[in-house]
Amino acid sequence: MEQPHFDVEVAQNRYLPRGADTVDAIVTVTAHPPAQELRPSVAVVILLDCSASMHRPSKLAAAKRAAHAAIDSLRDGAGFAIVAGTHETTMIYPDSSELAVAGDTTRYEAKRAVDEITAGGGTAMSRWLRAAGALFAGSEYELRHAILLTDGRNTSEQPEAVSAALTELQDTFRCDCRGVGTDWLVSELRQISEALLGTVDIVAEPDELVTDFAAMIERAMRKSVPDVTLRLWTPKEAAVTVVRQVDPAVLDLTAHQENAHVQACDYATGAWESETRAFQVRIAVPAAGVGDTMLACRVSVVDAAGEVLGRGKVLATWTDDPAYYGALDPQVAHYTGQVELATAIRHGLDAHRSGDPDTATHELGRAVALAAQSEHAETMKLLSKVVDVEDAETGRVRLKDSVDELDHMTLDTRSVVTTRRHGRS
Amino acid sequence: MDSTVMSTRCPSCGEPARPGDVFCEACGGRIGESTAGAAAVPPEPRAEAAARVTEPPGTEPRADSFAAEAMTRALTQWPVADLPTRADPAWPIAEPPTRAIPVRPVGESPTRAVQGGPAEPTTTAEPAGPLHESAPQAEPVWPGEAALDEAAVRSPDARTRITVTPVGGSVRDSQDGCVHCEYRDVDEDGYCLRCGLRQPTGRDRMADDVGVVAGVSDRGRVRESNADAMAFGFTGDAAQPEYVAAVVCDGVGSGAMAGQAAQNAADAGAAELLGCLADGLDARKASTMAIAAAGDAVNALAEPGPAEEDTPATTYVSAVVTGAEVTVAWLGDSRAYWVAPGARADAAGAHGGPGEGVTCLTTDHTVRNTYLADGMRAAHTLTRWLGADSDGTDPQVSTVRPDRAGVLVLCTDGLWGYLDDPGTLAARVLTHGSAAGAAAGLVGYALSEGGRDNVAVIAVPFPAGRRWP
Repeated sequence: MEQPHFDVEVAQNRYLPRGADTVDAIVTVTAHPPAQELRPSVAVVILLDCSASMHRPSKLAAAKRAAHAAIDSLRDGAGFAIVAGTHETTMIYPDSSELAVAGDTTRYEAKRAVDEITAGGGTAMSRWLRAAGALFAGSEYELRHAILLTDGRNTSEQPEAVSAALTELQDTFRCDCRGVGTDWLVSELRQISEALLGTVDIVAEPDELVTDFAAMIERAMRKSVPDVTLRLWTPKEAAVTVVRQVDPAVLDLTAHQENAHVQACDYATGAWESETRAFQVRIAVPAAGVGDTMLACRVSVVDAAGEVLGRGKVLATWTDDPAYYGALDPQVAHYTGQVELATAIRHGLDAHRSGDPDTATHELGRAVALAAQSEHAETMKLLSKVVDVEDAETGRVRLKDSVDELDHMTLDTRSVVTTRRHGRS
Repeated sequence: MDSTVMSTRCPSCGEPARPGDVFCEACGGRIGESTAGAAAVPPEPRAEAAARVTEPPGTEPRADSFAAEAMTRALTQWPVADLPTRADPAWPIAEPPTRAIPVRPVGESPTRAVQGGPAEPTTTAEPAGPLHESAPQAEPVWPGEAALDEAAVRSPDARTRITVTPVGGSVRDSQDGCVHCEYRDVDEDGYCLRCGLRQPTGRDRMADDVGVVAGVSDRGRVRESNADAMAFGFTGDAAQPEYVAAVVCDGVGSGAMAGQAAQNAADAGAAELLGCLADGLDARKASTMAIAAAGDAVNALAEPGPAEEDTPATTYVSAVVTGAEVTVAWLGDSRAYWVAPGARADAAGAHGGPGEGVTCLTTDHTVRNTYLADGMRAAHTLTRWLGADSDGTDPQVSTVRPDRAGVLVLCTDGLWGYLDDPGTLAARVLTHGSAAGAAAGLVGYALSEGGRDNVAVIAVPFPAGRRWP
């Protein structure tokens, strides 16, 4: 039986100066999934916002068309359900509380049911998420993927309700979130997507939803290794202090930790297709003697059954030679910069929103410099819609007099998307 | 000579390695900084090596250790590979489900027989005692005093037998558990399963003892790897060898290439030296031919094209000790000292400062640097060396005929950098009762003084064949 396997590459400068106790590394993981016919079963739940605000004809109609596209993209045999979300939830298709199995008949019926949707009511996203969780919980599907579409804020409940639901549902399914228009809150959807290891994005024009939904479903269909875990072993008296995905987007995994062993922690990374992701790992170690080499971290990629699919090692060697410890690993430097870039954008936009132009200018200027340095063209383009760039290299910028809300939210949403390292290695 | 049958072995498991390999294909262990492709080893029969280990009474038959080792390799996995389920987060560290049993054969420090002449190769079974002064050794054979002036009687088969240290350096001493935290389990790559620290690898500390000559080399306390190397052996019978030959090298630079260059030079130099001597060449001619062979072995490492940073180069000092003479040859600043109780050698052609009972037989090929305060390395710059960018080998050769029994010491600057007073050397050599003890003692001294550099020390009692003067 062909097993998936994962390549694990560690980029680091393993040389540390005398007395240093922090080891940084970038762990790049590439999945090699098994052949198509061996791929795991998949189920998708689509959570459509049907609150009153969606009633504007263009939005609801676009959402319905997007749902049609999503249904058409389901492969035969996939489990699926369409749920209408308001201050409560309504099963659109199927009308039982069990997932339907995709086929010509069910796809047809589902689309007819979607056509019947009407808007009205409030927004209580925790209930939507719990409804998806309940559908998945009663099923045997290995890959569980939800898509949440909203156009507004979570107004019908306290924020704690969502936090509580996420704590409960974490690692039981993956959820991509899409906000249409500009009346939703980036922070609300980001909280959900980060907890459920999905993506978040803004859809400016309702019409764009169709291609976006189809793409999301296709991507979900391509996932072929469910519930992959990054297992980090550290020496006794050492500790993992940072674990975050840094490619394709910044995603802090610290909250996704489970202790596997007194010296090892597991970090859920969700389902994988044939893809490459990079993770930043920082370990606090007790400093050893000059000349000593320590295995600071064993990195394993582990599947749901505990099978090890790939391995890597993070080392540390103490030296008195600055020529060794002085060099910064290019990958580590690059992704450290990408994380800083995302943080600077976030801080800058927060300051901008809270009426602190000085901080906003400073942070966004830093972001421009970091984007220029890493040749992150996409982010640079988004930044230049919020600030006028006078000198990209030094990060001299001026806030635009009026910033379009859509540009603000787009930059915010996509601030976490990183770029790979350009140039020669 | 036999410089074509070359291979290198993993210091951990003995698996043959390809030239340039840094990690062993079999066990994943680090092969060491000097997995040169150049040194000659006929495929080494491991069983022979094991059979030659002296067994203390009451221990398990050593042959089991290989089965045990194989089993360990099969059993030993990363501790993360099959952790218990999440339901059992409090799995006690003291009871991991898999366990590395340290099984390296104790005291495996095999000498090796190579073909030394036109005759059939003979495998010698000279026991190599562990490097302890108390180790059981064959009763020392002391040639008569007359032998000091006369060449030892040549046995008919002296030319056919050469005994040399293992190519690539000795295996490290066996160790039960982690040398750092004493936790009992160490993984197959040498990393402790508790503290994560790597165990010393083959080149970090090397020690070998063939009775009539012994040496120790250590990484020191500051450098990351050991770029010093040594090789030695003798021709003929261990009880009465015709020639004892030794080579010490100090790789230039601190990278992996430095250690590789040094070990290549030492291995090739010692093999050629002993081969030439067995073929009947005189000590001086054999010494220069050995340097040429060592130079070839170093240059073989050089990559074609511009190689600016990691060019292979090394110092070199060799000694040939017979019943009557000591011949030293050198390039660079590794030294040979004559140490005798209370007298100086008849140092014809020898240089170096005086000292009570100590004569330095070599002159450093260095440019004196005025900034001595920068430490030993910065204090001298080599003017001659072996390997890349060297303007041809231009070794110095010197022969002395000591008038009494003594000890020849070959060492790198890792030792002599701490010998402000040569008298220290005499005191530290002569308090020991064996070559192995003296070499270990001198290395220990360098380490206790700070171990700023790698250190390699070989001690050869004179006249050849004596266990101690």
